[in-house]
Amino acid sequence: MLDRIATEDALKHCHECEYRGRPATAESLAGAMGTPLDDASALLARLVERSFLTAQGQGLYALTDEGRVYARRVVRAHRLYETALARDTGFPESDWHARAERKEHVLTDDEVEHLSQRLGHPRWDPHGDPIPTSEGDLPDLHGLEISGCPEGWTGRITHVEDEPNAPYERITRLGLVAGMRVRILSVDGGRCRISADGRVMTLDAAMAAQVHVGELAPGESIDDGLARLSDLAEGGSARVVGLGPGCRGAERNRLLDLGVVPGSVIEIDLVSPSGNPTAYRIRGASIALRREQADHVYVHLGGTAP
Amino acid sequence: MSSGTEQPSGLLAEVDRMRWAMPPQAHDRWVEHLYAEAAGIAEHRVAAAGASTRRAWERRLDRWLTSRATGVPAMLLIFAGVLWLTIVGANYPSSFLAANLIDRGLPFLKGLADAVSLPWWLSGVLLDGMYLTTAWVVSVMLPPMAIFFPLFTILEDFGYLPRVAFVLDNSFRKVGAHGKQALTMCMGFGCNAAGVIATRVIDSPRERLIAIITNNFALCNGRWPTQILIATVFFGALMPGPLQGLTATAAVLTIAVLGVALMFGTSAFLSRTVLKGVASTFSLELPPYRPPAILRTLYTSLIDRTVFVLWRAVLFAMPAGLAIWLISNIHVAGQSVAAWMIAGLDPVGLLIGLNGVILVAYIVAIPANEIVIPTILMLTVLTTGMTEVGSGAGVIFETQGAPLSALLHAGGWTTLTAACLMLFSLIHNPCSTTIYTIYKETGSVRWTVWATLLPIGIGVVLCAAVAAGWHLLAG
Repeated sequence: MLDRIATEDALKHCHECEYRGRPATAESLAGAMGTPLDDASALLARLVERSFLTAQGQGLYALTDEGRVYARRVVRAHRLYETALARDTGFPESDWHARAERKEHVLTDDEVEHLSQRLGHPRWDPHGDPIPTSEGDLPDLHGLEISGCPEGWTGRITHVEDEPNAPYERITRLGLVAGMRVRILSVDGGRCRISADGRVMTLDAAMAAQVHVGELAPGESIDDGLARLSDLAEGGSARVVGLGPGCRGAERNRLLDLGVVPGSVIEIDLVSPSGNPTAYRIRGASIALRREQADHVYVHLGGTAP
Repeated sequence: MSSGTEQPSGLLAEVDRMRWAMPPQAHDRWVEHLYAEAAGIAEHRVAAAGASTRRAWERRLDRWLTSRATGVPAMLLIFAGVLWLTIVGANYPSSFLAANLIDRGLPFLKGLADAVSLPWWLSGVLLDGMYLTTAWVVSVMLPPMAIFFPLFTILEDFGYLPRVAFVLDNSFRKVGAHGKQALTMCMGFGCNAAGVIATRVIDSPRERLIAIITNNFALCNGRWPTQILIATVFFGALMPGPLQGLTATAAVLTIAVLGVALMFGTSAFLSRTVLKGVASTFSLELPPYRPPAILRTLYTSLIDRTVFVLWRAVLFAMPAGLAIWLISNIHVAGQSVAAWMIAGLDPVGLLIGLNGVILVAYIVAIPANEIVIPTILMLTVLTTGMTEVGSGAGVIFETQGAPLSALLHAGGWTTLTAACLMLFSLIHNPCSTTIYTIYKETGSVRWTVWATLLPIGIGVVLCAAVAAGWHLLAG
């Protein structure tokens, strides 16, 4: 089992290097896996022996077709499992990776297939990473680092890298997830100030390095009047625009079921003693939502009743 | 999954490629627009009868019940009122039942047994064991239940419980628990087994486990009578006449609030250690207030809850009565088994502010919390030799100079014993039914063991601390 984990982790690393166009070497593997250089070299030699890798000379290694198929199977299990965690569980986002990291080595092909079917064969995991198909199909890498974008640039978050964990945890605390539309407000060295779906936030250099962005779809633009339901003050009203990409699975369905759909007009009904949760008047019913959930509801403030 | 090689491969491959070009959230947005479309159709085609706005009194009431200044005090006041009504109201029917079932019933049945000349052991097992325990269970438990359950059901019907969940949600969120745990907790005030089953409304497995493990801290109906009885006899009696009911209510409410505090504490502990995670989604509908259907409430709460729970208590009381009679009457080396057990457990019991009788009672009463007090009474009667209580004492709830108070004081009880018993009754292992339900709901021996041992561990530590503190202050 230990051997299997090491094999799969090493193949995943080589696959990641291939995908991102970086060289895979004993040094890079030792760095990624946190093992001594000798162990990494020995591991790579074993993988060459089992014809998952070929040695390219100058310490470089490349995946064979067989190795690539194997690596993508593991990546597929990992990303599907993360998608399932995001939709079905209450684990914090910063825990998903570690859990999937353990589970990817245990899931059988049948289980992975079953998981994919249950989730509706998703193509993207919650971080915005593509999930390889059962045939091992993957699109080419796209997206740029957010800190490389000029001031005033607008686009969409395509990918939030979950490793290393510490900056990722800070990102999740800001509520920034793949799929949000952003405008770059200012870039200062690696730091950048952005506005993401109605929220202004600052990313430090480490965080910015883990956030990738892409162009908006043709005809799409940034909605500057966008606010969150949690911004609504007592006495005002809000018209729902949609639900944010951070709102997933059962939570998303529940909100839609309750009538939080584009066009609904919402007012504050009651505020609990601590101010959180708040009860909103939605389509004639009084529904209590926690602030974290009201944050996921995108609205235009000041809309009037139909 | 079949590969694309045998199919009209060109087309399928094209579709597969196009799927990568779709925006990642396309599916979610489609669903969103379907809902919006449906809502739009409904708005145009469905005519609503009457105004959808709420009546003014409902709004005003809601403000009182949920605002920053009055929300929590109103909640405490309402529950205190329910308890007070239960405590004060249960006195009379309890005395009546005890007078008839025990004072008159037992001598009558003994007379009958003598008339048909039953052997002493058979009449002992049947009458002094099974009948007396059952009669005690009925007269101690039936009146409080028959008052408490309907009152609680009326609050439930009226729509108050979701407001409790609304007011308490922030605290649940802070300890990493689900807001609906407030609802399962309220259910647990009725019965913990029912509360554990009710956790099915929580869809995240982690938060559901937290709700299951901590449900036992909601004081269940099997323990309310214990609390009410001990509070009345020991704490109510400390005060002059008119204040007795209030003092007893305050004592019971303190224990119930302590239970809620412990539920928050253990939830926080669990969600930071073995059940690590953050609180997930929460949405709760605050339904409009409905005038409770009083008659139907009375019927359902009497039949579904009171009779059901009482029947269960009686089922457990009879074999327990048998066990009590046997351990009290089988003698080994010149002493009854019960006396040996009591003497053996006395040092441990005293260390945690209790005594041997109470510990033996909790061992005998593992099947059901309801019979703890009857068991304690039976064992105290048998060990103090005050056998005339069985025939001469009826008024269980009367306080001043009542035989019950005299009996317990003769058994060596002090205010400390009473306080520790109330604590221990709140914080010990769940009853066997609840333990079994937890196992069925979690399907895990590990979590069942957690749910069983966590409260009793806390209970022993807390009682020992109270006893140590008491002795330090007193001497």
